Amino acid sequence: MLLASLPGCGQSASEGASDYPAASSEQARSFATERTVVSEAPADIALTIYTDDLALITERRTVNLPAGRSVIRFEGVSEMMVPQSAILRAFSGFTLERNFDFDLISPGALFAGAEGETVTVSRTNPSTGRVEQKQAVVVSGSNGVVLEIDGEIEALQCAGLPEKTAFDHVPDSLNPQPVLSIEVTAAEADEQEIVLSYLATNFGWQADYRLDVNPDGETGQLVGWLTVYNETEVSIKEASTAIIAGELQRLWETRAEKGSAKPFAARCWPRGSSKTGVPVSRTLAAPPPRAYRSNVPQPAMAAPEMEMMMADSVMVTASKEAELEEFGDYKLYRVPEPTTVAAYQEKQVLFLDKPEIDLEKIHTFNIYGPENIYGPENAIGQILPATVEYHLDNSRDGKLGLPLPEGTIRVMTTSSEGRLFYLGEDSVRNLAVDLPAEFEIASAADVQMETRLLDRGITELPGRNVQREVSVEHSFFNASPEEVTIKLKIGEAFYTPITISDENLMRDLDADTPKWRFTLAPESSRLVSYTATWTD
Amino acid sequence: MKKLLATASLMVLTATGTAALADDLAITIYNNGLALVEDERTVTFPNGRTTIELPGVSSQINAPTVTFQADSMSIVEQNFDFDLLTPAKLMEKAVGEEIEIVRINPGTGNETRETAKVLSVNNGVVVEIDDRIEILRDDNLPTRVIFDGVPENLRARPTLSVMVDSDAAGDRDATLTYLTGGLSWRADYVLLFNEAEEEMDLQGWATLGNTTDTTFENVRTQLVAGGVGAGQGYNDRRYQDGPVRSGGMEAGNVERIGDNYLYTLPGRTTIASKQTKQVGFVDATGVDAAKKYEYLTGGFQTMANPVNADVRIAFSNSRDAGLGAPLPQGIIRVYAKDAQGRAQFIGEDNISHVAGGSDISLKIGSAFDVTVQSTQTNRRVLSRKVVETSMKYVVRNARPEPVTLTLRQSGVTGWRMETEVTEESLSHRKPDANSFVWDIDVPAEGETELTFTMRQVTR
Repeated sequence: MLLASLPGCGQSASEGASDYPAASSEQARSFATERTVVSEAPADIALTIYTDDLALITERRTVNLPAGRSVIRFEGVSEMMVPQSAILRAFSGFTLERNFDFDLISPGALFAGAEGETVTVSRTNPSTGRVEQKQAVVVSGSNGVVLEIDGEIEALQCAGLPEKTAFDHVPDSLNPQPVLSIEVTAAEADEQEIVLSYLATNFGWQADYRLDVNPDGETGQLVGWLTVYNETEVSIKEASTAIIAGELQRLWETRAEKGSAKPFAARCWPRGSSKTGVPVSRTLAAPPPRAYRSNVPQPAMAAPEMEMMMADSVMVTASKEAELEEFGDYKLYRVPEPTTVAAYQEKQVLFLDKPEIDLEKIHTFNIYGPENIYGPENAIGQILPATVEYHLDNSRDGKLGLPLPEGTIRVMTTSSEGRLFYLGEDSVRNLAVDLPAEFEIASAADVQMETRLLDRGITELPGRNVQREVSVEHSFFNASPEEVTIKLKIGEAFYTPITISDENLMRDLDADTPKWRFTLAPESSRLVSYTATWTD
Repeated sequence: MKKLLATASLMVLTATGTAALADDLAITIYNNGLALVEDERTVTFPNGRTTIELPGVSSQINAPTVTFQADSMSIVEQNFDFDLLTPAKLMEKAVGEEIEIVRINPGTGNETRETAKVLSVNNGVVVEIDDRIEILRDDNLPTRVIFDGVPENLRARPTLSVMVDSDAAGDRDATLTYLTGGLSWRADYVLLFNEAEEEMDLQGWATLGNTTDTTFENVRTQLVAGGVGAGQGYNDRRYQDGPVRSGGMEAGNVERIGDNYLYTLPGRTTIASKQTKQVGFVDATGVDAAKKYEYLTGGFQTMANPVNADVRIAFSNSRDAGLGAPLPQGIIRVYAKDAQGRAQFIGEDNISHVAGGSDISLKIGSAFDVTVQSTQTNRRVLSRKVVETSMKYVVRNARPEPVTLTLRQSGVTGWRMETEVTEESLSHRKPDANSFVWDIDVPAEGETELTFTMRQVTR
């Protein structure tokens, strides 16, 4: 009934709606004869992966439905399913109820699920070896274990003896694997092909770019891989896979319900003394919600962290290249042949391969605010190494001319002896064609700026405002054996516009904020001086 | 177990190429805990589809950076198995399977053996034994678990396997490159200062560390010094209170790659797992160096007790001074010879990457015999916006020779404050808008008094 109102349910939904009165009378009749139909695995699966820890999984499953009321158990679904997002399509019949059972077997869940039931407690006397077995009723099991043995109430594992509990059976509510079960009614017995779609978390992807800079320093090769991860227990096999780039609005509520496994806690009485009393134990807090992951793992991390976050395996698929499709306001990359994304696996699919693009290397200095560089606490001055930037030409008619989805770019070069070197890396945000593709990959010890404040002046203006004036001298040093291009930029974070006067070097007058650009010969220095004026 | 079976069937479908170890290993280590590994090996390729296993790669490999190249083949897929053989993994992979449990009664010593089916490994192991459900070892009694065998995809070492499509059979050279964490180096310097001659000797040692579980044998090793990685520049800001006192502009005697310094270790070396190794990279003798006394103050204070001045060793890494090399980031430990000619440790300081031709001033400690004591002698509020403060600094020298102390008064300017000296006993320098500096000569076993008055106008 819910499905009837959903778009895209097509024929089956309208059929369902017309059958509604009949079905509800049948529902009453067949109440006692409910049957369970198990669908073990999908016949065919499609996977769409989003950047922000999300995937859409669409499964086609074939089930033999009896007439009347039955429960379909969908096994092999992701344990990271967002159950409220599940949609059934191409199903002729009604959905009465659906349940996602993700309470898996664990020691804590065994005790919690055994409340009111009888278990066997065995105590072993370590000196005699005698094993004493007692029948016990679990009075409480979810927050420490309380047992009733021979009409007396005790806590578990207080005896000071090795104490073991045996259960007759696994509680019905616990499953070896997560199951989506849907209670349906069908008008007639039939083999049906059902399409089940749901969102699942713990999937994601990022772009990994490798830029190989040629010896000329003006061209390079850019290769991009989509690195997909599956941090769930379930392998998605032979799936038609698509990857969507772009930022979707996401709400906190759309997340998997899977709780952390309940640890087993015996919680015998706390020990106290007549002097200090019995310490009050804190109530067991609910397990914290799983950290919401807004970013995919950055491959280059500090080593131990990197090891922790790494999925179990990585797969690179080079002979397949994902194709770019425009998809509304997003970009869609389609993997041309079915692909398996195994449990705890990382997989790479090539999506961009440009053997030659144009680029430029620039040494930049950014002055982000008056307090950082003109402030009174900056006694004498400071020496700052240049930031090394690579600017890629990503204009529409340039050699690249492609959207760059978010991820990481790593810059490499080959020395004259043929050895490969890593020059640095930067994160990439979603960059449309024609936007500046500028990456800060390293800092340069050989290219430095020394700043000296020569004078400061304050002029009072009407009201409480003052006009500040700082006379600044920047010395640029190039200790490298090569000519470098330097960019000096002032005031990206200035809350008040800054006026530059008395500069000894012509600046770029078209720029929104004061900006200089010049070259510096090997083993040379250059002085840029100016007066900066602003009011506040 | 489904996953295990799937992998096993995949193995059957494809021929397996020769497992090869590296023939030639070249590693470039960066000083931020990252290394680039170039691994060349001869691989026997059969014709068609085959899986080649590449053992002996770093345990901290950064998987998205892996490339594998050889002639006449294309990659179908690359798979890196991080599934290492551990007791926990062994149990995880046994879910749904049967294991054998051996228990020994602590009192009688009787051994009982039971077959159990593993139901779940989820914050504890739940097993089914003869229709009853138990939690493994919840009674803390010694229990052994016996497995039939090792699951096929659990490995003792991290292994990379590549499925390739080869156009021709035969032995060919293949190159594997990747970035890895766990390899790092840092510079440690030994500076022997000769005060009488105003000279020093400087040796730089590269200390290599390998915290990976992999030993790299017979490696051509290069070390790269530089700020590799985004956002490094702003963290690397150097204030002039620090050791680097000026920018340099001498390329110096060092190899470079990109904006980094490159040091090549001679010959081949073995970088063992969990090992530290030291290799020399700078060795200079007779470099000009001088000792300096400095005192930096941030306000107008009255001190009940004198404070010891900073002792600094000042030198330049320029060609003229006798060094002529940039110095990668690290720690400089300073030694001086005592009266018996024994080298004694006299202090240490950090340096960031220092370009050639820079002025360097290391703070090595406090001077026992050179002290500064300040007194605010007068303070007059001339109006709501104008304040005049008079200061007295007494510099005492208990040494048998005269010394010069550089005293820097800062922290007396402000966003809304103009400051000037109206009266002084010695004349000041003003190297920048925020500092007032006096160079104070103090006679042997004597003292010198500096007095001044500053007017601060708030606007």
